[in-house]
Amino acid sequence: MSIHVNQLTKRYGNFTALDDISLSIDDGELVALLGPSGCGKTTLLRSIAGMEFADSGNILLEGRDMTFEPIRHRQVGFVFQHYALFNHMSVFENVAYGLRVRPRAQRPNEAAIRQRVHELLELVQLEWLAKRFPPQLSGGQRQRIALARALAVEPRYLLLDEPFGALDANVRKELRRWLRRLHEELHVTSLFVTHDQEEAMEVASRIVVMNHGRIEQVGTPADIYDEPRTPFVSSFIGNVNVFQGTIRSGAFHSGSWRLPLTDARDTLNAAEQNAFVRPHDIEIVHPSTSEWQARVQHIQPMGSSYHIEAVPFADASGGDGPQIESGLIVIELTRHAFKSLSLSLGDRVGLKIHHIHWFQPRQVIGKPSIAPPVPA
Amino acid sequence: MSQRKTLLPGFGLSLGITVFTLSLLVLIPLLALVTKSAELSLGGMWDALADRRVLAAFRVSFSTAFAAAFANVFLGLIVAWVLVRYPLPFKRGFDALIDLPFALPTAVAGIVLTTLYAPNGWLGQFFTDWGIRVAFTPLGIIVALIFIGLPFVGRTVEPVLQELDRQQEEASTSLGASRWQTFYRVLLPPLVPAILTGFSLAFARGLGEYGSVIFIAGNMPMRSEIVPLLIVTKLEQYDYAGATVIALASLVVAFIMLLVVNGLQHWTRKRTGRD
Amino acid sequence: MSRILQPQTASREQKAETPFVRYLLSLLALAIIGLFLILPLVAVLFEAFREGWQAYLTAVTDRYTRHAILLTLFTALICVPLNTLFGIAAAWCIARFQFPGRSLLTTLIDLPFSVSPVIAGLVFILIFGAQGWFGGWFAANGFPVIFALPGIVLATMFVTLPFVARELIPLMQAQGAEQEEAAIMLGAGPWRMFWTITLPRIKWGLLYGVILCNARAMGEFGAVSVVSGHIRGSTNTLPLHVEILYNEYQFSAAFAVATLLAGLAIVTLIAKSIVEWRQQRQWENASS
Repeated sequence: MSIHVNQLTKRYGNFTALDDISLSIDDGELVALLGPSGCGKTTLLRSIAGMEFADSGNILLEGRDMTFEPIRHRQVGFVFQHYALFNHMSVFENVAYGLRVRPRAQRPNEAAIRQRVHELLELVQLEWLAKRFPPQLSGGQRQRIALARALAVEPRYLLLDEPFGALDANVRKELRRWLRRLHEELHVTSLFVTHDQEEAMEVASRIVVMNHGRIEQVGTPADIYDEPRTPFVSSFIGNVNVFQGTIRSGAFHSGSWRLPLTDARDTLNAAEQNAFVRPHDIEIVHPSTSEWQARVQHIQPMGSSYHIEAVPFADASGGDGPQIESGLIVIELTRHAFKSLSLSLGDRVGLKIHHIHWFQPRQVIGKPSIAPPVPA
Repeated sequence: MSQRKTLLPGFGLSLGITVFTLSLLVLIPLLALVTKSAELSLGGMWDALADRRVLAAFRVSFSTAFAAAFANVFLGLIVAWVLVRYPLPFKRGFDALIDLPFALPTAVAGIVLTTLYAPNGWLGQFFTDWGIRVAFTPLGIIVALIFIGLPFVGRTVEPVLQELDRQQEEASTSLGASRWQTFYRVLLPPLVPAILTGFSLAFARGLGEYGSVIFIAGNMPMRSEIVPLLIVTKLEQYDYAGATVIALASLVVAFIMLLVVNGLQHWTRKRTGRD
Repeated sequence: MSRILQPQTASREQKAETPFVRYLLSLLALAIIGLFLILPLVAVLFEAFREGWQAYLTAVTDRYTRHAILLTLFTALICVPLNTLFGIAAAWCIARFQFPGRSLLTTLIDLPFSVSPVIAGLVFILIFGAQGWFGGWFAANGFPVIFALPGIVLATMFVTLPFVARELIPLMQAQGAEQEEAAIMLGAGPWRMFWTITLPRIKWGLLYGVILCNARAMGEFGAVSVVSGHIRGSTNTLPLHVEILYNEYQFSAAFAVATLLAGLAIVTLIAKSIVEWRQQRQWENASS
């Protein structure tokens, strides 16, 4: 039940919703389409479902070209962002709908329909709501009914448009886990759209990051986080400090700050480079042991961790500090590390950088890099 | 028509039915109106329109429709205000009754208003005492048009009045404004687009109204003869070209009026930042 | 059109205007309603029975009255279903699809409301009248349009064309297309989708439009008057019959027949209120 998208392009007037998208999804995968609003992720999902029709390119389901096939040949289950439950039908009738509208020859008899609906309601753990009507349900319940309704027709592909978008934070968390377990149980090839990177990381086995109608990167959550291929991916997935500077004679220079590079590969790009550093890849050390020094300006407890905002010092020679977009360096410490440092406001600290992603500044955010950046 | 492929069915069929029906019932007939008028030369058209009786009919139609729509702004506003804001017995019944002029056939409205306002009628006799004649004068036309147009202002103002933000009113009061100042400065401005809409609807309806007016108007040429009646008169005299030219002219004028009022409304909305 | 009035909290009102202003305004409103709306209805009844029950019954059961009733019902029976079909089709393509000329189409649908009924009748005379484009041909083939039933139907359809579409377009736009898309995704065919999803969701709005359309179809005077020729016992609808009786100074008979139309208006208002109340809930569901 694989999905192949080949060079799909879709324009609305001057706006390019999908720009030459190619993508392969294997049987049984659970994939997230992740990106900011307007990046084309929903258009891509609707195109695969057959609800939108691309200007060029094609879509293959299980190797068959389905670009112009009508919906009913695609065997796609679709869960709408706002669920689109039929408000004038009971929950039972909502779930049964897909079975009742089948051509007479393929339609199961009443007993079989009843049986199947009850199985599905059991699966989503809402059997007791069968006689209610959608307006009487909570958001989370509607979401699960919408899923049961989509599954009733035994789809080979399950497509979900922002499935948790309209829910409260705690219901959301619970449903994410539930969806992942459900997928493990059913193993239907599934694709869902989200703008929440945490949600994508938690639920999906692979993530497709999109921006401006293009695919920025495809990979496992770990790949995407640890090896972002573009500045956009790096900053969209989690927080990042961006140091602007150049690499000269074996060291990175940002303003008056200098960072010797030990890895020979880093020195290959003897050009302007931006260093993308995640907050948790910065260690706070004694000021005497690091050339990079800063003053603690703000300490923000985040529950499991602490965020430290530090203002960089210029070096001893009185030059400018490093060039940072925000003028601040954000450091994330584990609770344990924070306690052992016993930091207070105004402290002078040394910074040690553990991991850098290099991107050339000319790579406008949002365009994929031409030369693959080399991780530090 | 460039039709994009879409998921939902029935675009071609529904558009086909819509365009076919509109062409048959609206477009072709209106085209007939234009081509028939074109049979007269421009000079002929001018002669047909510049006739004193025709001009008088236009003057009567415009002035009475305007007066009635103007009166309806106040009547409609008062009724809507009271029905939305004050406790009143049988409120729901009264509210439903507001639409009576829409539901009552105009011929019935015409004969009953004539009977009521005739010099010896239930209401007419009081006016007679003061030396005022209502029925069979332009005043009678205004009365009929007020009846016909009564729901327009009320019905467009009512929903806006219901959704007005009570907090703005309270804020105004808390800042020391008197009740009248609050009404005039806070409540009235957002109602203006709805009032203008209601006015223009009532005015347009008044220009074209026939059934309720002809009984009460007296239909004296030059004095209480309205444009629609003049069209009918010309038709009965088999002066098709004359009738058509007058019809076309009144149609054009009505559209221009509607455009002006729509523009005015658009401008007010922009100014008050409402949609 | 009106939606149901929300019950207002009395306490706040009482602070709003001084009691004097409140009573004055309430009295004015009641006077307007009484003078312009209630009094005419009462007068219709009073005048109808001025000459007693017997005269009333005679007028209402008169041969020509019976014929007028039948003709009016028959006209409505043709026009209302056709305009309902048109309204659904127009609302479907305008509320569910984007296409060039869409706003022009919306304007055209509203056009009959801004055209004088007299002109609505006139245009059909220009096409089908004795000197009209096709009038001669239709008459020669034994199918006269003007001064006959087809003309009455055409004129009535013209003036009632917008009613259903105008109700449905905003309703369907507010509801959005998602539920219909969901039905298609679940494998429903077009008819199935229409009968199980679209129609149940718009039924109250549809009924509202149909009620208004019907009231106008049965009560239309100006447009029908121009094309009918006022042939008694043949092309006389109820409103035209009222006019003829009135012009013949048979006032009581005219008002007696008018009570039938006033009754229709009252029934219309009641039905409309009920449907409005149901429809209110449909609008609320549309947003949930």
